[in-house]
Amino acid sequence: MDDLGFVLLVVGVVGLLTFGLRALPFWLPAGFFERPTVRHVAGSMPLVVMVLLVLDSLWGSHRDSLEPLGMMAGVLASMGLHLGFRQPLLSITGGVGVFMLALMMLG
Amino acid sequence: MPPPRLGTLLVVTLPVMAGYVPLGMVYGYLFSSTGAELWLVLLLSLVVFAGAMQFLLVGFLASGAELFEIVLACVLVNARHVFYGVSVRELLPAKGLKRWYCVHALTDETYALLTGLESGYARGRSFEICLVNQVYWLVGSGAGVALGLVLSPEIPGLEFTLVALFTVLAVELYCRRPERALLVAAVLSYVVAGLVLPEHPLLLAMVLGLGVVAWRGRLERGRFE
Repeated sequence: MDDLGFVLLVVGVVGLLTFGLRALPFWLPAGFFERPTVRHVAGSMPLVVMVLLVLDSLWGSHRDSLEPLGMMAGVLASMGLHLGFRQPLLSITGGVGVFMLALMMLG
Repeated sequence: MPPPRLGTLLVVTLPVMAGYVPLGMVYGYLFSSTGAELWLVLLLSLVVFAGAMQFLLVGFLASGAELFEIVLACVLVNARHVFYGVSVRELLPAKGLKRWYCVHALTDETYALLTGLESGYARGRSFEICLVNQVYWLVGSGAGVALGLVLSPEIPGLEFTLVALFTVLAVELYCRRPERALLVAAVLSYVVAGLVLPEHPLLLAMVLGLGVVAWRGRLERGRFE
C-alpha cells in the first residue's frame, strides 16, 4: 500500500469498469440480449465463474499446510447452510466460523 | 411523487442492511488491517461498490498485483452484472442522474431486492432504495475500520469471508438454474487448466468454461431448430 498513485489508479479503473459492465445493457440495443447464444452464455456463465472462483481459492491456498482441508470444511459448511436456509449472512458466518475452528484444530 | 416514508424504506431494505452492515465491516476491517486509511476504505465503497470485487482488491493491493491482473479479475468477477440491467431496465428512474446512479449501485443484493419487490413500489422508489443500500455498505465499511482500532490487528481466518461469499453466490445461482452439466464443465475446465498452467489456472479455466458453455448453447440450439 506504498504507492498511493497506483492505488488511486486501480480504484478509478475498477470503478469505471464495474460501472461500464452494469451500464452495458442500457447502451446495447435491447434485441442483443434476445439472441439465443447470448441468452445461453449469459444464463450459464455466472455460475461457472463462481464455481471456478471457489475452486481457485481452494487451489491457491497454502498447499504445504493443512489449510486446504479447513477451506474445504468451510466451503461445505457455507454450501450446506445456504442450501438449507438461503440466508446469505448465516451461510457466510457459518462457513467462516467452521474455517476458523478448523484452523485452530489443525494448527 | 411524494417523498418516500423513511420507515417504509427501512423496512423494505432491512434484508440488505442485515447483510451489508456486517459484510461491509469485515471488508473495512480487512482493508484497514493492510494499512488502508478510512478515506480510502470509504472511497472504494463509494466508487466501486461491488462486494466480492472489493474483497479481491484488498488482497490484490496487499500483494502488489499488476494492473492488468486486477482489470481481468474485475471483468470476470463483475461480468454477471451485465445481465442485471436487462431485467430492471423498466424499474429504474426514466432518465437523468438518478437513473445512472441506480445503474452504478446495481449490486447483487439491490438487484435481488428490486426484482423481488412489488413492481409498483420498486418503480417509484428505486433511486431511494439504491441510495439507502449504498449508505448501509458505507456505514459497515467505516464501522469495520473502527473495529480494527479496538480489535487485534489480525483475526486468523477472517479472510475466508470472500470464499464463503463466492460459495453463497454459486449456490444461489445454482438454485436459480440447477444444471449439473455447468458444475461438471466448471470442474473439468479447472482441472485441465490446472494441468496446463499449474501456477495460474484461473484465467485459462474461465476461457475453457466459456468455450464449453458457448459450444453447448450451439448444440442445444441445433437440436431444437
